[in-house]
Amino acid sequence: MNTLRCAWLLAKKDLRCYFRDRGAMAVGFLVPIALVTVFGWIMTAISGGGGGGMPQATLYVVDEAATDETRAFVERLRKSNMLKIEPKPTAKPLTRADVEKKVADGDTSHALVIPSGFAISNTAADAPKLVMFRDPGRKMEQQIIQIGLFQSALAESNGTLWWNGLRKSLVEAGLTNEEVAQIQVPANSMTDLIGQFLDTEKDKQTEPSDPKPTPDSDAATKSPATSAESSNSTASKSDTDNENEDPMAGMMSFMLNMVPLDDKPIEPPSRPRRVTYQAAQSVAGMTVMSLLFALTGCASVLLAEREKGTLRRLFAMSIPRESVLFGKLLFAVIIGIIQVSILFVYGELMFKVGLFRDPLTLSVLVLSWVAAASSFGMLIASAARSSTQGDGLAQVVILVMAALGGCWFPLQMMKLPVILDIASKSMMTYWAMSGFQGMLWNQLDLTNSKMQIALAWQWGWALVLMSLAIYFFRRNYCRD
Amino acid sequence: MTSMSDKALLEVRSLAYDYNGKLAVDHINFSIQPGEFFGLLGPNGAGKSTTIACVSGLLSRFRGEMFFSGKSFSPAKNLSDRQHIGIVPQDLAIYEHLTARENLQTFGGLFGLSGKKLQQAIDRQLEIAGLTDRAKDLVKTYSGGMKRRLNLACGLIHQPQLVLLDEPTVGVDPQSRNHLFESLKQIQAEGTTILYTTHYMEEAERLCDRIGIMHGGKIIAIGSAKQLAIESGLPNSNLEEVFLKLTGRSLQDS
Ligand SMILES: Nc1ncnc2c1ncn2[C@@H]1O[C@H](COP(=O)(O)OP(=O)(O)OP(=O)(O)O)[C@@H](O)[C@H]1O
Ligand SMILES: [Mg+2]
Repeated sequence: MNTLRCAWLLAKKDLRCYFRDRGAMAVGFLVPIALVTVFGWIMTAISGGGGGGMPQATLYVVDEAATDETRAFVERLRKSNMLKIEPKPTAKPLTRADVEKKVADGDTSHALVIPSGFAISNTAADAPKLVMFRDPGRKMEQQIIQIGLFQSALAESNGTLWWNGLRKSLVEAGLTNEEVAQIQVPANSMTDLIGQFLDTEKDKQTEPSDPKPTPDSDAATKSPATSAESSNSTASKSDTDNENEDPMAGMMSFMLNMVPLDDKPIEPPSRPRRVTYQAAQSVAGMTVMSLLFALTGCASVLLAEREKGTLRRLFAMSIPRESVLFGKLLFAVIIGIIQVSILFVYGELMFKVGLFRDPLTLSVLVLSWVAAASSFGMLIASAARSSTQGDGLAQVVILVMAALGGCWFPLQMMKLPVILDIASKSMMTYWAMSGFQGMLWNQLDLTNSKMQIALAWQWGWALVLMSLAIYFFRRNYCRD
Repeated sequence: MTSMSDKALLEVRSLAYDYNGKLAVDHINFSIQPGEFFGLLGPNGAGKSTTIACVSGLLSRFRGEMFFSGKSFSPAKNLSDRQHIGIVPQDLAIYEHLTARENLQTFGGLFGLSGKKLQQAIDRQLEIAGLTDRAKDLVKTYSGGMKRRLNLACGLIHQPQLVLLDEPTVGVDPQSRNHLFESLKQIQAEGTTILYTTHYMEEAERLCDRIGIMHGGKIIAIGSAKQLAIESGLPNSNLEEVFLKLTGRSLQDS
């Protein structure tokens, strides 16, 4: 009898047992659904509340001007705790087209271009402005970058930026140039105050503890509305929805408008209107993690069979021993596909993340992750000495992989040390997340090279883990 | 090479097996005739399970030779050789979340049975085990005795010529034990050959046509209970006393 038929007979048996075992079913299907729900809510709540801890956002910068002033400005941006500036000074500089593609591909959420002829202190209406390519759905990063950008621009302009912005508003409010000049001295001291506020209070961005900027910002928010610059009003429009709820937003748009910025949101046209980055993140993260748990659980049936003695009986039958391993693999893959289907239908109903927009990409992504996750389970089951050891080991490794791979929290938001960054990118969970996020958020399909790389990593992992599983199976199960 | 006694169903010649250099089975010889009920009797650690594992193909590193119906027999390497053998493990090796029928289906299928042939084999085994009425119930709802009977039925589903039972009565209540004995006598009557291990003297005396007494990895005497008694010079004694005489110990110490 061939290995495939044996594997199928064995898988059929395991499937039957699985679906009769209500406890296993509950763990397999309800727990992931609960996780998706809870994390979905938490993540959405966090994103509404401005984020906790010390968030950091990645900003790609292209310095086309390359003057001493703009270079100093970029250096200043690099020093900001809130910003992670790419590419690194030692790396090859990118072009405007490069970063625009990066934003479009979802490689980064924000990219800043400093055009040639740009000067921070030049606020003339026709002066070249900074260009910001950004993903408009990434509000968390946007807020962080606005603060970081303003802080750096303010510091680099020696206060002239602040003053120029205020002067512009005051002139627009009807004051003459002479009257404005009289306010310059107190205004400069306020510059210092704000500078201090931004330097010392950056951990408390959500609490506008300094009352002084508030009256000014009230006056100033009116200025972009009356401004002749159409691009500036685009920028303020994207912030208007925040203005009413968030007292910080008013000041934010005031600050943003002082930095002469040409705001360019890039959004995939097919992205569903209701999808939020956090919902996509939760659905992807919880799917990736719960599949790992579920499929490792399926594989551990191998250990249970060894302990219960049924494996001895199977091994005494006229079937190749490897077919037992492949039977478990087949079982895990089938359960994985069923679980993902249920989870995704639920996720779609709950969060409307547009999961079924591209069935081909979805199927390939699911299959790749199911392959990698089941191989991991097979490795644990064939290498562990007992099911207790296997379960313990699996839980630790899965939790580490899930955390490092970004299943719980978008890692782009954290300031990761290099070692951790490398560790994160070598996790197979990272590439599964990258694939699902690419599909859900950036609406990429299989023709995109970023997606292909994510898939290649997963299949690479699947191959390595499965080879190891076969090696350990032969060593631990096929020798006397 | 062929077997010396062409009549034997299974002939084991100079079988030896060691765990990390420690001999568990020490060059034993025995043969089982077709239709015979053959017992291996010995205390704990005598090497009975190791012998069964070599014959069933679970262990491959053994030395010596085996012949089945006169032909060279290597169940560990040659998968088709295992078709002739049915094993009944001491622990219940059945799936609790399946019904009796599904258990038999799975094991029958893995022995290459399918379709009508499989259905017939299943019905037959259910009947022998007295489980026809409960065939569609999950095994976890069965009594201990019913599980034991199904455990036996699963080893017989492909109608093997030789059935290996390794201490099948350990921890089994007297009623189930009796039912098992009746079933074994029935399949023996239908022509199945049985290799049975035990450390219970009464069982060996009651069931076995011939007995091999194992001690320290060796078979120290072979024959019917009566022959063994005569050969050991205690013609009117029971097996217990024979064993004591041969080994200098009682079966219970190990
Ligand atoms: N997996 C193993 N590794 C090392 N030694 C083993 C192993 N299995 C059995 N042995 C040793 O081999 C010897 C024979 O063991 P075996 O299980 O064959 O005896 P047995 O007659 O079946 O005993 P019991 O009545 O307790 O089942 C014993 O000394 C035992 O300790
Ligand atoms: Mg034993």
